[in-house]
Amino acid sequence: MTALLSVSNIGAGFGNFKVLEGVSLSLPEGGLVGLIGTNGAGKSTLFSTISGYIAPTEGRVTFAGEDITQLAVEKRVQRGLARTFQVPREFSELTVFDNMMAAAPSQAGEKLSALVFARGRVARQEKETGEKARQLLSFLNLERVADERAGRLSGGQKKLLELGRLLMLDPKAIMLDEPFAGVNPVLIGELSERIVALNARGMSILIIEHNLDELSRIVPKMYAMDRGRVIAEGTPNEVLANPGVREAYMGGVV
Amino acid sequence: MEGYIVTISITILIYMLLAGGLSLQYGFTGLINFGHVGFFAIGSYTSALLAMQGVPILICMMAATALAALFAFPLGMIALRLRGDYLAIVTLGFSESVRMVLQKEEWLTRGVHGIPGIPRLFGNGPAADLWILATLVIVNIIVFAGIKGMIKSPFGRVIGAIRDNEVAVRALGKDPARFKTRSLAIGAALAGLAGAFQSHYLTFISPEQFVPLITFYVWMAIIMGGVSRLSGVVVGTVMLVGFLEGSRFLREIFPGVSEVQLSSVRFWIIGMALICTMLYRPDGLFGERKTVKK
Repeated sequence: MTALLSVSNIGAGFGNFKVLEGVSLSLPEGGLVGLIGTNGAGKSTLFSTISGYIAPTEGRVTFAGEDITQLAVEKRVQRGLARTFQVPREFSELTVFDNMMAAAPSQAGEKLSALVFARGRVARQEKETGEKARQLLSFLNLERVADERAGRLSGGQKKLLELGRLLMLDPKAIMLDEPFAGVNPVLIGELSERIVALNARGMSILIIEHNLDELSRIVPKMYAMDRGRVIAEGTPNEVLANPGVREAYMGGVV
Repeated sequence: MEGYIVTISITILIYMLLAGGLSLQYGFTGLINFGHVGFFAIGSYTSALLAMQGVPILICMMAATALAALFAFPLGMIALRLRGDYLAIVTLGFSESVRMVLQKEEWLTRGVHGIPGIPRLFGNGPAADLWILATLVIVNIIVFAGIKGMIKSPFGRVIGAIRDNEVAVRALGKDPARFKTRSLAIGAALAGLAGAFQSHYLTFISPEQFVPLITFYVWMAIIMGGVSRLSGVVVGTVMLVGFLEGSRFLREIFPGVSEVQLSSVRFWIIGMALICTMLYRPDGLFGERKTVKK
C-alpha cells in the first residue's frame, strides 16, 4: 500500500520548547492507524501540524503525493484531509441537521449573488445536500435528534455529529482526535463499529485515542508517542509490549 | 402631536435599518462591531454632499449605500483575520477616525459647521414627512425580509456556524474571512442607507451627530430585543428609540425638572432596563436561544 498521508521528520514548538521532534509517520491509502501516548506526548499538536493550525519548524507533510506543509487549513481540507477535535466543536445554536448542511462543500447558496439570481439551482442543491445529510445522520444514528440544537446533545452524540460533518465532505482521509473520550461504553461500541465500516468503504483513518483496549481491537497498526517523539510502531500487541511504551505509561514501575 | 409621532416613527425606522445591519453582523455572524456609526456617517455625508451637487436623491442614496459597503472591505480584510475582540477595538477606532475626518476636512465637509440645507426627500410640503415614513416602512420590510431570507440560506448557515465555532468552520474547508467580510459589508450598507435617509430627512448633518453613543444605542436596542431574533430587533428598536424620543414629553409631566436632570433620568431608566434585561431575559425579550429549559 502506498502512503496517502506521510509526515516526515516534523518538528514543532513554541520558542525553545520543543513539542515535536523528528516525528515521522504514515497513513497508507485505505489504512486504519492508531496513535497513542500519554498526556502531553504531542499527539494533538501533531494533528494540528498536519491539519495546518500550527506551522512546523521543520519537516514535511505530504498528502496524496502533494507537499501540503505550507497550505492553509481550509485548502488541506479541500484536498480531502479532514479532522475532528478532542473537545467537540459543534455549531451549538444550529440544529444537528443544519450542522451537517453547513459542512457541505461548494454550495451555490453560499454566494450572495446566487441567492438572488440562481434560486432554482440553490433550491435543487439544498434538496440533494439535505438528502445526503439525512442518510449520514441515519448512518450515525442521529436522525432522532436532527432538529435539536447541537448544543443540547450529549458528549458522545457531539462526537458522532462531528464525524458526520466530516463525512459530508467526502474526505479521502480523516483524523479523529480521541473519538471515544467522554463517550458512554455502549456508544463507544457503536462509534468504533462506524469507524470500521467507514474504513471498509475505503476511507483512510488516523485515530488518537487513550482507550487502548478499544483502539487495539479495531486498528491493525499503531504508533506510540512520548515527549514529542515516536517511540514505537507496529501491531497493537507489539506496541503495547514495547518496553519504552510500558515505561511511558507506567512511569517505569513495571 | 401627529407631527411628533411621525417624527418619532421616522427616527425609529432609521434606527431599525441600523439595528438590522448590526444584528446581521453580531447576532447572526458574531462580529463585534463597535463602529457602526462610522458607516452611518459615511452614508449620511455621501448622500448629502452628492445631493448638494444636484445629483438626484435616489442616486445619492444608492451611492451612499454602496460606499459604506465598500469601506467595510478594507476594514474587514485587516480586522477579520484578527480575533473577535480585536475587531471591536478596530471598528471603534474606525468610526472615530471617520468622525475626525469629517470634522477636519473642512474643504469637503465644512467641518464642525456641518452641512445645512440638504435637499429633502419628497420636498418640503407637509405631506413629505408621511411619504418619507411610508418609504421607510417599505424599505424596512424589504430589508428585513432580505435578512430573513439570507439567514435561512446556505450563506446564513455558514455565518451562524462561524458565530458558533470559527475554528470548526475552517476544519470544514471554508474560509471564514470571506463570509465575515460579506456580512460586515451588508451591515455597513444598511448603515449607509440609514445615513442617507437621515440626511434627506433632517436636512442638516454635522460630525457631532455621529458619536459612538449612536453605535451603543443600536447595541442596546438589539440586546434588549434579542440579538439573533429579527422580531426582537424590531421591538427592541421601537422600545429604545421610542423611549429616547418620547421621553422628551416627560418634562411636561414633571414641570419642575430641568432638561439636564431629565436627560440623567432618561439614562438611568435605560440603564436599569438594560440591567433588568441582562438579569431576567439575558437573550433579550424575544430571544429564545439558551433561555429555553427542558
